[in-house]
Amino acid sequence: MFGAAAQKPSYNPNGDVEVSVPQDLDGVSSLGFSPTANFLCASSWNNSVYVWDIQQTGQTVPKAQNKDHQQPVLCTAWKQDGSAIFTGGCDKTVRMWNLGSNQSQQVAAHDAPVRHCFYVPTMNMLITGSWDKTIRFWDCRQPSPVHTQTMSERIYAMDVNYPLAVVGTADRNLTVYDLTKPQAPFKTIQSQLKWQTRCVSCFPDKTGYLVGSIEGRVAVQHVDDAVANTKNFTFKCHRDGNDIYAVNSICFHPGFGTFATAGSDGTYNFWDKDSKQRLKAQNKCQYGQQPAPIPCAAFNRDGSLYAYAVSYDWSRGYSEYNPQVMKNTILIHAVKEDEVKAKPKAATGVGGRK
Amino acid sequence: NYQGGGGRQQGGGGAQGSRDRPVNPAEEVQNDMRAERPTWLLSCYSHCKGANDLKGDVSPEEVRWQQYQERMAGKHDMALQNDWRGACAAKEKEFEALVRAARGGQRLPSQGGAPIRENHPWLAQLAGGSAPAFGQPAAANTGFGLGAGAPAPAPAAPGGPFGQPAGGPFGHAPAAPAQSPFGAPAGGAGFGAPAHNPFGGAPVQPPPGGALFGKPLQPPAPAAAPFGQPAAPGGGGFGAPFGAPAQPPQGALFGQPLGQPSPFGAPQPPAAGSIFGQPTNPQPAGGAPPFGAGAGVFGGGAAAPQAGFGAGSPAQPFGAPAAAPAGFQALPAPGSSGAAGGAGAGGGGDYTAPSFVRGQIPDDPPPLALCV
Repeated sequence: MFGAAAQKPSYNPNGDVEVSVPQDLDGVSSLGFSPTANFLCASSWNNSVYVWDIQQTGQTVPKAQNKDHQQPVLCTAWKQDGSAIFTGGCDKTVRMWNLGSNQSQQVAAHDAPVRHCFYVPTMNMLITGSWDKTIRFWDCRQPSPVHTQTMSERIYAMDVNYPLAVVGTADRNLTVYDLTKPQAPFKTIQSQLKWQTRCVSCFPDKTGYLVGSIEGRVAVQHVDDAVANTKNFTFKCHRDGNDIYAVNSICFHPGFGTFATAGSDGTYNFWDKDSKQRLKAQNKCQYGQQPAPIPCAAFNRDGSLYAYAVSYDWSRGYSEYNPQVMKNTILIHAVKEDEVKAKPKAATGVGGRK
Repeated sequence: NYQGGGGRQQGGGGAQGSRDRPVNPAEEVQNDMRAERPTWLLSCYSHCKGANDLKGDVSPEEVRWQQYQERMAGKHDMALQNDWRGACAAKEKEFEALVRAARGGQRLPSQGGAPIRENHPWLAQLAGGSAPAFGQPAAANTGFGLGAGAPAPAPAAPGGPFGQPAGGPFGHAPAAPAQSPFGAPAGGAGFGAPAHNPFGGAPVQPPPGGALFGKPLQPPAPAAAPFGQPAAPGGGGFGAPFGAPAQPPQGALFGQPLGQPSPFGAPQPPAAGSIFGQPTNPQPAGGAPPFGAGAGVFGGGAAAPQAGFGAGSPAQPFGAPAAAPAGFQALPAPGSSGAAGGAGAGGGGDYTAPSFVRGQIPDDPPPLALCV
């Protein structure tokens, strides 16, 4: 057991399964599992989108690749029946990639790169968010959006759990949507974090959402103002000594209501917001002596797998970019129950300690 | 209800309630700028979690996209580096100016005081939200929605159009998906019916004949076979894309010489003409797939990590110059202060047999913290 540990590469110190990725993979911008099977899709800064079959044995079988975007792809969203993937990115469009025919077609467009896209089955609509400061609703059969909402700033973060949708923009605004009344936002507030919003994630029970920022902190926010006043809080994470890293991804476990965060520090952690505890901290992924950032992550449909990318997320800008050392990889963690099962409150009442 | 815990590695403590004690702006600003400064500097900032004291938010992805475009257009490494460092230096000047203003008891920007902005043209083009210099000028938003774009956010009116129902807000029955936190039951009539337009316009009709954007959404395919069969005979397609069933690990992904055939195919030039109707899936590589698959962790086998990272390349100090592949050049700048090397999270694992159905013997060793 300990002998095996000595062979673990520094970018995979947790011994997770390594997805067989192509040599020309660039930074990974998004990951997502199919709602109907253990197919994993990934989008990359090399303009491609990939799909693997993650098999029970741990083998990761490449299934498909799409290169129709001629510029980096930033976001992906599976259609609910697993038959297609929406992909959006720097070419300012969103395409729908039909996996059966292996063809894609443009279904949406913005005036600037598309940062996020979500398919909402209840509405049978695609919702897209862009650096052009708008979110747009599409029924994909028409070239024009059904509705465009101009926000105060560029869209940085977004999550949808019908009927709740939350959009985080530049300059720390958060807009909450009731998708049963999508003509206008439900409310817009300022983030309870002090620095740039990085990601948002809706609670499974849709009563609130989590916000991650660049300042190694997560805010727990409730939609209802009365509840918010007593139950909102923030907690620190993804810090290492004096270094404070961005929280790049927050994903709720589909079954247990707990969640995982992943950050530029190269760690991923499991948390329980109701007992305010960290359930598990994982070992830090590194490129040599430097952190190897985790830019994105995703649980599969039953929460038995947690996929995360290890690739440079530009968190230290151009100066630190060293492609020879910073190999791009995708790892898959076989989730253990004690990592994601909610626990009763600790005696101290506030957690983070193991 | 405040517990400090930030000193620990990956500190996960320090939960702060929403009712913080009143802040002293000078203290808050100074503390934030000295002890709580994030690694990513190109950010807005608010000492009071309200209005911003500093604006000019730029995300890592925006910087990356800008620099990718500039690099493709021929901008040199030194210039790219200078842009980045100059932008960070400009933000640091803003931080210092804010600290001076706070110390001097001046009204901060968030309190209505004069804005603090250090001019850096390369940074400003990104923070302003306009299109990058190498792109197209920003076009007017199409499909402008109802009402003007929101300027400053307005506080939500209590009991506004989405006021709470008499029955009380959602939150007490997490397992009841039918309830809505917004006060109206979800899944109201009309949703799911394709013709209903929730935006109040005419019902959405599928266009007669051919749609402008190609086929309508495909009918749901059986979940068991989302990938179907390739249209073109002999095409790479799905089902048998790589010419052979998956093999046990055959060798390292990394350390393979460049140019090895890839199951994803070699990079191809963009197809001439329309992409519609042209399958983009590459032809299968001949022979066995060169990339080994992961070990059988899920089935309970030992997780043999793939050897390879570093196997094919000499051990180099971080940042040592290396021959660059097409694209970005490796830069000699070593990383600045970062975490000390070594893993060792504070968290423990469960080394008793988990009750989890798929539970296999954990193959990873205990974290260093448990090894004392």
